[in-house]
Amino acid sequence: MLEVKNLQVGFNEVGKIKWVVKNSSFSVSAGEILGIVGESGSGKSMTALAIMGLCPVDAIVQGQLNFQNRKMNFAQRDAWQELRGVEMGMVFQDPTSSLNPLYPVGQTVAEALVFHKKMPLEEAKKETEKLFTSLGILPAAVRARQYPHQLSGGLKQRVMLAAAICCKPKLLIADEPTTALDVTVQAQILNLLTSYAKGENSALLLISHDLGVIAQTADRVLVMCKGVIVEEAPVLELFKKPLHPYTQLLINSLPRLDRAVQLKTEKSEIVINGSACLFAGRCRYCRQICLQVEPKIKAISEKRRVCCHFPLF
Amino acid sequence: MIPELGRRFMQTVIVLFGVSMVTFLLMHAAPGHPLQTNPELRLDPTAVERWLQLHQLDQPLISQYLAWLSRVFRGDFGESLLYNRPVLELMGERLPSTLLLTLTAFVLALFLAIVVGIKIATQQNSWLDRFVCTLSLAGISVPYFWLAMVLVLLFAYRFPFLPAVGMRTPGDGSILDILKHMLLPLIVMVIANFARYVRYVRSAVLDVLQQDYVRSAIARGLKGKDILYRHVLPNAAMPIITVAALSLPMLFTGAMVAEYVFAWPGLGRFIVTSTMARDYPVIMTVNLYTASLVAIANFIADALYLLIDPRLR
Amino acid sequence: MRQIITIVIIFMLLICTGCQNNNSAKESSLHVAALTGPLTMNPLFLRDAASAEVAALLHPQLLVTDPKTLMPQARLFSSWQLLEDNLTYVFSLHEDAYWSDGKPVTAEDVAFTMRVICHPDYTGPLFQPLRYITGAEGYKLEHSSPYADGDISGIEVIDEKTLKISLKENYAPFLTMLTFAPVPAHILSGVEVAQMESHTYSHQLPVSAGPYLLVEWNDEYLHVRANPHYFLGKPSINNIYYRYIPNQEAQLIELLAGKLDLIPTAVKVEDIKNLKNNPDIKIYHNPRLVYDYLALNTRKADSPLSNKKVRKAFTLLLNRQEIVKNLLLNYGTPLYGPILPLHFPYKETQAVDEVDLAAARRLLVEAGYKKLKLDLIYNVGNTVRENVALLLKEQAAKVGIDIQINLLEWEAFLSAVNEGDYDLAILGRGVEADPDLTFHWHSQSRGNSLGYANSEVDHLLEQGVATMDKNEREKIYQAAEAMIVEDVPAIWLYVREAIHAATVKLQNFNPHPENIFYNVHEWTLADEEEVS
Repeated sequence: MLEVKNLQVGFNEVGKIKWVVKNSSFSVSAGEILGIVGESGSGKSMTALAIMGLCPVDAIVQGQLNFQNRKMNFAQRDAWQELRGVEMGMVFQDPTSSLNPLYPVGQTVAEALVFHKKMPLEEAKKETEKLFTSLGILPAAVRARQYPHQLSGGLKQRVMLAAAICCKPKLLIADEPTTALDVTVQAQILNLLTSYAKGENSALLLISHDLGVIAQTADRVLVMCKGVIVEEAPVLELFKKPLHPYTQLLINSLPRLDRAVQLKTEKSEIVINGSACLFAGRCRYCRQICLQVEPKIKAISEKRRVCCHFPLF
Repeated sequence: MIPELGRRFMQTVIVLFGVSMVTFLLMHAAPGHPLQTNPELRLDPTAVERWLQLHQLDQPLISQYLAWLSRVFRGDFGESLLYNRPVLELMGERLPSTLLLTLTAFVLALFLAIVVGIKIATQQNSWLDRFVCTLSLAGISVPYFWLAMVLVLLFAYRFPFLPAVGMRTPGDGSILDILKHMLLPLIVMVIANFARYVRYVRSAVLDVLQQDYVRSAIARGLKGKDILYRHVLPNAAMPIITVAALSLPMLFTGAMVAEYVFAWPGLGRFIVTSTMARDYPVIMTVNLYTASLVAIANFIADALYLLIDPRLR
Repeated sequence: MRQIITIVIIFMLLICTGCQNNNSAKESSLHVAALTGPLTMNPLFLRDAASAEVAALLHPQLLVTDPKTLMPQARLFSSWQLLEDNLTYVFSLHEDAYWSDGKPVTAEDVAFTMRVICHPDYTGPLFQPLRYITGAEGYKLEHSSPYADGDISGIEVIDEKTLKISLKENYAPFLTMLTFAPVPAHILSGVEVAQMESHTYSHQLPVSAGPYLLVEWNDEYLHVRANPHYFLGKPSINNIYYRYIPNQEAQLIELLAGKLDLIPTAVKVEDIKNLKNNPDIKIYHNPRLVYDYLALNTRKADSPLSNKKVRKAFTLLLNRQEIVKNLLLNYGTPLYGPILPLHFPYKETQAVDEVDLAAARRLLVEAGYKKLKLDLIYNVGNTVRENVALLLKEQAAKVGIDIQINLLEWEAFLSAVNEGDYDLAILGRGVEADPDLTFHWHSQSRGNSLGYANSEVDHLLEQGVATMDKNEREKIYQAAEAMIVEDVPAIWLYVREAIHAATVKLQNFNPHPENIFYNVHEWTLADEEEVS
């Protein structure tokens, strides 16, 4: 349903383009939950923004997007206007800063309904209250009239979710939706996201730095590192048997009950010029070739891809 | 917030009181008195003495101040020593012409600054943006006295289709006549104020445009105008209100450049000549008046903040 | 946005083109420029230049002085007589003089006005001449009623139009100082003298008797209208607008644009060249009773200036004829003593110029000074004084005097002068129509700001005011002047002329050194055709 081909996002830095997302291709199908995981700065958020057509104005975006039989080019940003809010929705990391502080929260949702569905305002308000009720923003009528600063973080994120899904988009992107929230609230939000994707048979792109969140929620996982997709796998297989040293590193750094938290110091990051594996500097399996030839992503099995000269079989 | 306003009011009263006392003491601390500012005036020493007596200027400072205070509480601001007429009457006569010019200039400049400021903020770094920024920099740095003289030379002398000075043609004074006289001073003042305001508006709007809630509004599929009017402007209004409120007191105390170069009648010149001539009652009243204006402007700004920002309620 | 621009353009077109209504009224109007507006209309409380100027439009002066000779001339007093005793004057009021409410202007009005001036509560500037009237000083000290009632023995109303005034001693300048105007007794006699200045009469002037009557006084201009019953005949110009324009450049532009008809007094020398080439504009100029001088402060402890030789050296530094020629473009007269060219004792031969640096150096050496360091102050905004200061510095350096120039703001300048905190200062001074030198040069006078004291001069000056014969007075003042000049209390520089620019349509404009509206009732505005 959604297919991203050769996506590249870069910024002009003193005559040289610095790419933050490099030649990434992947796809998501309806009803599927695709997790994208990686450290901050790995390019996962920029990938999400690119799919929404929301990259900063000074960004250079290349590549193609096939979305529900529509073929779009990332360079033509105007094409996204009619998709956003209707076909695609997005939930951001920080619900506090993502809500207009001077706007009653109900209106944020109702406004989108009026705008996209050409509903009369009264009807949109009723619709909003229904949606609020279904998302657990209670009592809906009261909450709808409240301002963001009167709501807790979890409720705000629910409102953001309501605003994102009010027009039942076929693609929902959630960029670190739970990072700013309490652990107890995290699960509720993730549940709501999952049930929306499954219930409406929508694709859900879940972006997180937290492997735990991904493990709970996603069907399939993309691992990103420095703007490159280094590994792609169904969620269970990924955790059972990571193929890329980076994935392994991520999984190993997860806190576990049966052993002490490992804060292993990595090899100091070496700056390597020219073409080289982007992870080479931190890779404990790094060999000569890794410093000279950039690995290409290749399919290992039907569902798995990895970008490494020496995958960990 | 309402008790806060009450507290603010009490503070204002105390500040006004302090201002009046300091002004009074400073004013009288300087040697000499109003009749000595003109050395060519051949006044009898006895006449001077009598004059001081008649105006109670021979009394100890404390009793002069207390007398002044008690008169002010009864609403009597005294008589000008120069004009021998009630101060309030003199100021009241001059205020309308001042306000006609300053308020019109203020409204026009602010309106233009908001329209243009928003336009250039949304088209950051476009040629229009650069043009207006350069222009406003020039507008801030140019000496208005000079600009005013250039305009007079140009439109009242070289191409004499506008009057150079005054507010009315003596004996005419129709609305059209006043408008004609207003045009040149208005242009100077609008340029001056516009140059200042447009930078504030631009930076305020730019600031809001970078906020997360604007991005999330775009992600909800809203279009430019809706985002601008509903999400950007209300949030950008705060700093603009602050600037506008700060310039409010100046509107009520005259426009010196216009009053000097264009001989526009008004409060400014009255205040300056009265101060130079040591017209004590006028100086005191003007100080109270300006201090109250500052307080009122702040109060209005606070009230507007309250109106706009639910977080303060 | 586009609509807004369209609206603005239409609006501007409307303003620019519309409403060019030519004054359909055929009434003649004269627009006069002023730097500031008047403060009062009351002729007894004129403390600023604008009010004094305007007062001449609105009020009839008792007497005036001739603009050329400064001799007393009839005005509201149509004639006068000095009796044999040299102390008693009998004045006749003009038979046709009426207040604007129809009541005649009477001797009682004048007597009342004089009583107001002599009243203990009077705070205006007019008491000086009246103190010589018999009984005036007693009235000032002892009169107990708050009103100007009672009698002053020296003021006697003979009949409705005749007034007799007797002085307690001879006072030669008396007549030239009776240039103030009376106020209507029937309006003001019930007003306490202390309240008179702030009385509505001072602002609204309901009743007056001058060549023009007040129509409107606002914060932009003063509008007066010809008095149809003025005793010297109704003025020919119907309306005069006295407009306050603080910016002199704007005044010129308005004059050139034909929206002003007269810029009195304050035209700058440097603007004259341009104006002279303009066929629509005529320049007038006349000497004033104001001069600039270099004050030498002798009162500072052990100042070298207390040595007369040092002061004398200063007289040899400046070529005043050159200053007048180059800085004033000949709109002035060099001055070498305290008597001004307009005064009758003035002698032109006293020019003994000029520069002799060798002699100046010699004088300094004789005084025991090889090198001197002095400071010089003058006020901001007077280019002529500024140039004189620079010239003096340059010349003084040649004889070993180092002059430190301090340019001061008016307020600071004034306080430095008042406190004597300077060595040299360039100052201006105004004098009266009578050549009497007492105010500035008598050792006991409060106007003697230089602290000049010479008992022989004191004696001559006392003699001067007590002598009624003009020829004798001339001799006395010339003698006094010679003594003062010999003592070198100051370096006199020049008398500047008042320069007026007017439309060529204005005719019979004959400005008085103290009063531009001296003969305003005779002014006419010619039609355009007549002029061309």
